[in-house]
Amino acid sequence: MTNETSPARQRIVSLWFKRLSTDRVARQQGRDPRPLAVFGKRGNADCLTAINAAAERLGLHPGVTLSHARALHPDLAVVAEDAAADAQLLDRLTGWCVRYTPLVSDDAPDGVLLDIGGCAHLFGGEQALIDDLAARVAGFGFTLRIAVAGTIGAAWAAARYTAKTIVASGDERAMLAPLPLVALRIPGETAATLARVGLNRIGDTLDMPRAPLAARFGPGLLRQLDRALGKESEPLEPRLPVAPYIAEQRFAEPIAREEDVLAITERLAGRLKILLERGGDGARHVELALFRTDGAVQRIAAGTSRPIRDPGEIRALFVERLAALADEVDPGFGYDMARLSVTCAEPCPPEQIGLGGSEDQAELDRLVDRLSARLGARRVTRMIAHDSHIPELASVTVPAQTDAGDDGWTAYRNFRESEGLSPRPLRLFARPEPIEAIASVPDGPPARFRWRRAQHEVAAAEGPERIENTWWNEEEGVARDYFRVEDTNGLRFWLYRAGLYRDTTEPRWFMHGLFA
Amino acid sequence: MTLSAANTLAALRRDIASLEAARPVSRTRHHRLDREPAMFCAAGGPLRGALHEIAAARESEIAAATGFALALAARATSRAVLWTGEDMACAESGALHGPGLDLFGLAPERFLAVQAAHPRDVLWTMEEALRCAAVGAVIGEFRRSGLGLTATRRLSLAAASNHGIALLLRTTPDVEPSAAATRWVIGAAPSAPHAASHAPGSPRIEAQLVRNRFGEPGTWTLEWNDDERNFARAPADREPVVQAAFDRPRRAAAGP
Repeated sequence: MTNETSPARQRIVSLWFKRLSTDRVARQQGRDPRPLAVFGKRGNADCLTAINAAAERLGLHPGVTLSHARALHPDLAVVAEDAAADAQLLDRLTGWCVRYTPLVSDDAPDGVLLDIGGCAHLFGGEQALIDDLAARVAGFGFTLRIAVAGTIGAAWAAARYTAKTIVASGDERAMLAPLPLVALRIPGETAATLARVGLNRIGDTLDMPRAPLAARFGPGLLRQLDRALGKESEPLEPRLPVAPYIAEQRFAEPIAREEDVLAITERLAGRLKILLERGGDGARHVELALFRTDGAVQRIAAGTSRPIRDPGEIRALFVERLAALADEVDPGFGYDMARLSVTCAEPCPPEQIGLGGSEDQAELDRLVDRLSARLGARRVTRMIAHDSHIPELASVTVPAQTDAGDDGWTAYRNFRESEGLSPRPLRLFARPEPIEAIASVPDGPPARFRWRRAQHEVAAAEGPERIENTWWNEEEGVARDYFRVEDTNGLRFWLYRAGLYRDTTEPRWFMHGLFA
Repeated sequence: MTLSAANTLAALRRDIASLEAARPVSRTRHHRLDREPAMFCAAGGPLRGALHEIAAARESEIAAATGFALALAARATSRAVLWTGEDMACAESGALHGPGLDLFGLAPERFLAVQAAHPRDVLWTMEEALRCAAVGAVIGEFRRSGLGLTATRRLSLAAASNHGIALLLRTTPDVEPSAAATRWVIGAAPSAPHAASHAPGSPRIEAQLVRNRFGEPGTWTLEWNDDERNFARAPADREPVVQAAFDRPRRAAAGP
């Protein structure tokens, strides 16, 4: 499946969920044959924004004020509008449409666009694909109008303003001519202005000279016209990034058991291996999408430390992921389609067998992958030396799966030798804890201090080591005087006084680390 | 007992012994444990292929126990070391600091740190790492007591499978039965400060071997030897050349 189809090969399916709001309410509250309307505030009055089929038969339409509608039909059921819920539902439907093609985009507020340019043959032709889609969506309980054409504009217009379902490429002009100008997705004011000068149908504008149209009504009208006719290309922007390598499998019988899911994952990974080898890449990030029979889509992702191709290793990653997500992955009545995609691929050197040193590193990488898959990539970390005097920044933890490059410890050791740094504590607190301390001399170490409700008498101390903060940090700009102290029981601490002794009468002391 | 019954018993015992340890542990090495603890950390090295429990005598002495555990790990292996613990442990006792690890002969680049939300994840991580051939030592920090016999047994078996070393670091001593080969209680001990500068001297710890499966328990005061990068017996207390300040009396260090 290629990422882009040239305009000549683009075949767009436009779905129009005619009654999205009322269908949403009907799904929640149960199918009710009574008339139902959704209302919202427009201007100063409450108006109907969506109606179901029964309400339409009564003669109501969107735009009628609520009071008027209620007066005419007292038994009309009304619900307040919820744009956020509608958007969420549309989002889920768009996510579900991905089962037909990865090039899916949502067409707010109540439509979805698919590009089936290269994949219609997989479903037995465009008609078969549309029939399958329409049947499934009807099964979910939505009213749907659907059309296929060569451009987005033409498909959009065909779905909403005609009864046609398939428009062959090249027939757009003939199909669009009798339609009203709003079918071109131009703003209502522009359409009203055009109507005032007598242009009501698209056919009226097709043969007119272009320069006066552009000058009078702006470039938008001509652009939409060109796009709808295919003279200018309007590519579909997929909502989800399209993965470079995809393998999928549809099942005649839905599967639900974990072993079956893992087995199919391994099989799909085997197919991906062939594609990856051809491209000279390995997978760094893999996503498994499981499509349930009732329309929900579950996505499970896993990452690796280095590019891999081996199906067994990919399967092992998902064993851990599924173990970690055990409660959240609910098969419901089963999955009828599974798709494995490599969302991030990197050039992968050819396999090297043997040579001891690299074996250990590969083993360690596999361990890191397993741990990260089970616990989360941010919980498995390495320490990297950072070029900073400030202790909490001198060593940073990064997820072990990222490529660290040089971890900086050799440079740190050289620096430590050359500068003669005093010893650093074994354990460092992420946030220094305030303590109460009394020093015998203002700029000297504390004589006794109180930390975590325990009193400590200092027996020996070394310091001060002054660590200045960065000059661009105004708020925390105080210098710290660090002392390595040992108390009478043998506990060794690293604490500091914030601020120079002559700046404040009340110096603040903090506990930062512990020595062995 | 009849001859056949005795034979059956002997055969069963042999079967059990062969099932229990893939690699029979030789007894000779451990006799050093009770007499010369320095050997435990020096020539022979800590017992590999087994689980050891190291508990801090009090929660405030966790750093001393950490140092001892790291020294054992550094001695036991030159391969990667995995450090794992619960989130709470990191918040309460502080996280491992890279520059501080250098002092114990452990290069921070060998370290892999795993933070888990739940103790059972910590156990799972330890097992997985022990079964990986590239990891030589695993240190797991636990705050609550009560790992139980089953969990410790699993860890011992995992350690034996790859001849690695598993160390359980606790904040308080545990009295529950465990399958650990040795059980230590570590406390902090005052060091001998430098005579002139009153700076703290080389770190000292009180190491108490509470339970030893292959030898005798005992108590020692150990001092960190920077040149050899290990804990050795603290030398007899040296009297400072300059008398300590009279208003700050020093406690006499405990003898071995």
